Amino acid sequence: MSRSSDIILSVEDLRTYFPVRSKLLRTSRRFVRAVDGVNLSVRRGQTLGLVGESGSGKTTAGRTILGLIKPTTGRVIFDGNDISHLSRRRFQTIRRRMQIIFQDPVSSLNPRMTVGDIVAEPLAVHRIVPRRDRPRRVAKLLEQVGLAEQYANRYPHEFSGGQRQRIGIARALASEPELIIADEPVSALDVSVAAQILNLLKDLQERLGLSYLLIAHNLAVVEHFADQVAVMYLGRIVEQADSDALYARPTHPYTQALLSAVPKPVPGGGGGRIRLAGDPPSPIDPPTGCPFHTRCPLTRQLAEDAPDSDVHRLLSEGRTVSVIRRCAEQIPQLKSVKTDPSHLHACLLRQGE
Amino acid sequence: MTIKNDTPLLVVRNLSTSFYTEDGEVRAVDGVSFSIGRQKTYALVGESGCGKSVTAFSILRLIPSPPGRIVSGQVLFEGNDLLTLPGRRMRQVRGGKISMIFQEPMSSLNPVFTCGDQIVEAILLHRPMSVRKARLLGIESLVQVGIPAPAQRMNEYPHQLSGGMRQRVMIAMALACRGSLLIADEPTTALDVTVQAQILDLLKQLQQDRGLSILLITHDLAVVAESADTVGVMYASKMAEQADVGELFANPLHPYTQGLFRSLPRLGEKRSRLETISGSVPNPLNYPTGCKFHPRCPTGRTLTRCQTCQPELRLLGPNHWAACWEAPGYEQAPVVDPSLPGGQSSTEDSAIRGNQPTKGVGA
Amino acid sequence: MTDQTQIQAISELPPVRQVGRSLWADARRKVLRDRSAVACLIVIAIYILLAAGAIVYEALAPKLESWLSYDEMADYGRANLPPSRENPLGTDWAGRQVWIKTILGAKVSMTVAFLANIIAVPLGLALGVLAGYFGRRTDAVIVWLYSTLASIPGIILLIAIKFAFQNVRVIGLDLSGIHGVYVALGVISWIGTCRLVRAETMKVRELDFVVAAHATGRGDLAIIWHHILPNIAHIGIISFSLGFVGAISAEVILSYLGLGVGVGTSSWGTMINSARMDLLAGRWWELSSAVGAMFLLVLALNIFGDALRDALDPRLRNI
Repeated sequence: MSRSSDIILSVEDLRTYFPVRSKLLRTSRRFVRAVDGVNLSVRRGQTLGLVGESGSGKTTAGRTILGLIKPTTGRVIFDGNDISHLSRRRFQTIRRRMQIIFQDPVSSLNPRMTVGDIVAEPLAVHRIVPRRDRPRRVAKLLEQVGLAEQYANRYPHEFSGGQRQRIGIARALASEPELIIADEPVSALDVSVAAQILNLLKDLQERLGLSYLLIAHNLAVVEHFADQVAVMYLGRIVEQADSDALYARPTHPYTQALLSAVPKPVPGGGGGRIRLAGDPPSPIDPPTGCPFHTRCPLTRQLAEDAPDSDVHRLLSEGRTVSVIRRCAEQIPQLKSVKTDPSHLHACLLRQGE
Repeated sequence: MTIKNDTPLLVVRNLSTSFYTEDGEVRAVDGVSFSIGRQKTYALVGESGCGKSVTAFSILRLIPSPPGRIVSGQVLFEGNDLLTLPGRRMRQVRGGKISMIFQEPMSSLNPVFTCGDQIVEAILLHRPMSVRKARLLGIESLVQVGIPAPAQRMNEYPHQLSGGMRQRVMIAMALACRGSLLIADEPTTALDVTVQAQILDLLKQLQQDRGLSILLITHDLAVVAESADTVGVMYASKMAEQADVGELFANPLHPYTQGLFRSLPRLGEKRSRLETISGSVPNPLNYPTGCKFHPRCPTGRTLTRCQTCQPELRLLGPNHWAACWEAPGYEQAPVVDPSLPGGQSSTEDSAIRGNQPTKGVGA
Repeated sequence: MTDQTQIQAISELPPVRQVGRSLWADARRKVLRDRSAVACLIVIAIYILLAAGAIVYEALAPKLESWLSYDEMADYGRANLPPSRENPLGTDWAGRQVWIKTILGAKVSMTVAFLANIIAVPLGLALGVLAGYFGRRTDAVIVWLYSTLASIPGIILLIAIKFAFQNVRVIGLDLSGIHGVYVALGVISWIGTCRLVRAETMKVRELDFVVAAHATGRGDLAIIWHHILPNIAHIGIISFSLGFVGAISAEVILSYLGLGVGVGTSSWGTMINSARMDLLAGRWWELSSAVGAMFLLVLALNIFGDALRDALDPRLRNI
């Protein structure tokens, strides 16, 4: 399929569990299974969109990949090197090549530092340029993100949200990274500003050959920007495909529901929407079997006509609901769709397709 | 079902609100007028800082009085000007006839009281009855907003509920007090997209069943398309354009609205570059002269008239107002108060919208 | 490929300043705008000047013949005289001028309060940051330490420490006198600061810009120095101003109890002590001087401290 040198980041069965603080005398420990077996890969120079709602674990996955959180098991392979269990010192060299952009323009910049100092920090840590050349390099970085060089003396609170995101991007670019993890980079911004930032990120990708792992919940943004998309639910990837394929032919019921839930900017829309029952379950006690089975419209629909032996009953929102037994008992693995080997999904009911 | 009545429920006329800060006066809302019909949804759309939230707060007189002040205007509701009502009667209106739900459901519910206590408190403020009856009414309202196991929820604390459920609780409070107008300030911005869909569906259903009017404040044009009947687009404290939703999406007249539409990434239409509106929202302490949008406007940037004179809203089409010198037909258009409906037929309206029932399995 | 028009439009931020407006500058402006705070600041400044003057006087007095040292001021012939033109605030039991004693008392209060807080606040800051940032065992140890200390009633602890310092000399300082007072106070009063700083550090540690610094590969100490400390420094300043007041009161009480400054030093506390019986004899001037001077200073410090806290509290910013 693709040569291994084409893949800059590869994640294998990544799991990050957080222990829930047990009460004084209780011996059994519960875990928040934030990331529960994730496999993905980012191709060099391309963007992988990681989509999910709150509780899906996408932010935790991003931070685990960056080494900010220690994975419980699994491997993270960056440019052919297994970085999952590197020592602090060895990780330093990797840090330069992987950077992060945050969602909140307010808390992502130190309010007590000038913009120049903020952008120069990676330059100092990695000793990229000698001290006297730093102001010039900072000016160049600011210019690259569309900010005038005079702004280096100002403080973050003097700027708007979009400008602060640009400063954050300049900081990320300072260490000349190859991979940038963008954690909801435009969710907190207005529409027109978001468009500017997205264009900027795309330009930078083209000019500098950057690879992105784009974490977002706005499906329209991801469709526009990403080359491949992976959909997460409760710590697992439920579907992954090239962007066009995912949006044109979603196979997993969750992806279908997600896409249909996005409001379209067409007046009178909202009809024909797939409605998901209830709220996402908590990652502390995930359901057995397929994590989505408690809310899945497909399994409920098929259970209506299925023989009793294949049916399992569960309690949902105060009512008894029937689902296909397999869905409640087996954990689906990612398998490819028949017609397209690069399009993967994890649904037992659609496995043959 | 309510009887269709043509007089609007709420009329806002020439509302202006300012904040007096140590750096000077900030005019957050400047001469805004609109009206909301019965059983209709009016959406105020704009980006951060345009004044839409301040407008909503001004209607309910929730502006903190230093440093803010409602400088001028009228807010007519059920025959009274809310801005001149004495305090006690205004409190009866707030939460009773007009309710408000906010963006952050986490902070709009008090974390140290159960949901039941808060709903009952709201009910008793506006509809005196025994506590027991109030609790029953509260449970009934929770059922109406689709919360499962409502009796149990009454005894739970806000942090035990998810974001979507907390918003439903807020809506239930509004319903229980028999409000006729619901002001929703970015009600779904903080929610996941599937939950957002549930809440929007709920609001639509309540509008049909209970005849509720809704003032929806949002920055999300897609939400507007789905939920609103009439839309007002605000920019830098002024109303730039106002029209019925179908007309606005089909034929946006103001360059700002056009820019907003062009910069939306749309599901199903992949483009290599998003179009943007150059520049950024102006600093309210230092608004540009003339039309506030002109520095970013592709046409008005270089035109003298746009640089020096602020255009006012003029009626340019059926129920369609815009404030732009260069909009087609602007020169001859009449200056009509936007809070008065300007020639539209309501039957045409519902044909465009065509509310279809939602399909799908599940509760 | 930069969007030139974009840069130009963005550059229209008014007014174009060369240097940015830091949060400290904002706070300073806010305080200076508050007239009562400025008035209090002036009062405090006067006290500082008087105290400084007294320090200089005491340093020079032995060398200049015309100036009198504290002991030499005694003039038993003029003991217990009420205020008059020659004795502006009256004289004490040994004939010393009360007004001079009051100023010397100001010197003692200011130095003790200053030195005590210079010990306590940085100590509290350091321990609080370490506990909040590193968590787990470090946190457990530090929390245990201050919880234990805090469970002992303050005055009793002070008295105990002062007794322990009876004949101790450390780096040339005789701890049984005034030096012991501020060392003891410093060693006790770091707890409040530590608690506040620890809580705030735990919040700041989770902010995105700290995560960004980790992602850049910055070491823990560098992160603490560059990112955490500047964002909790305001707590240190506020603690200092509040602790100042506390230290003044504590010193007065200790000296009143005879456990504070040594015999040869005059402080407001010793003045109150020696004058308490005089009230029955109708001699009000020494007591009133001491109490009045202390009241004025503490009032000014409290008002100014409030204004300072309002100006520095990041939550009260409305930008």
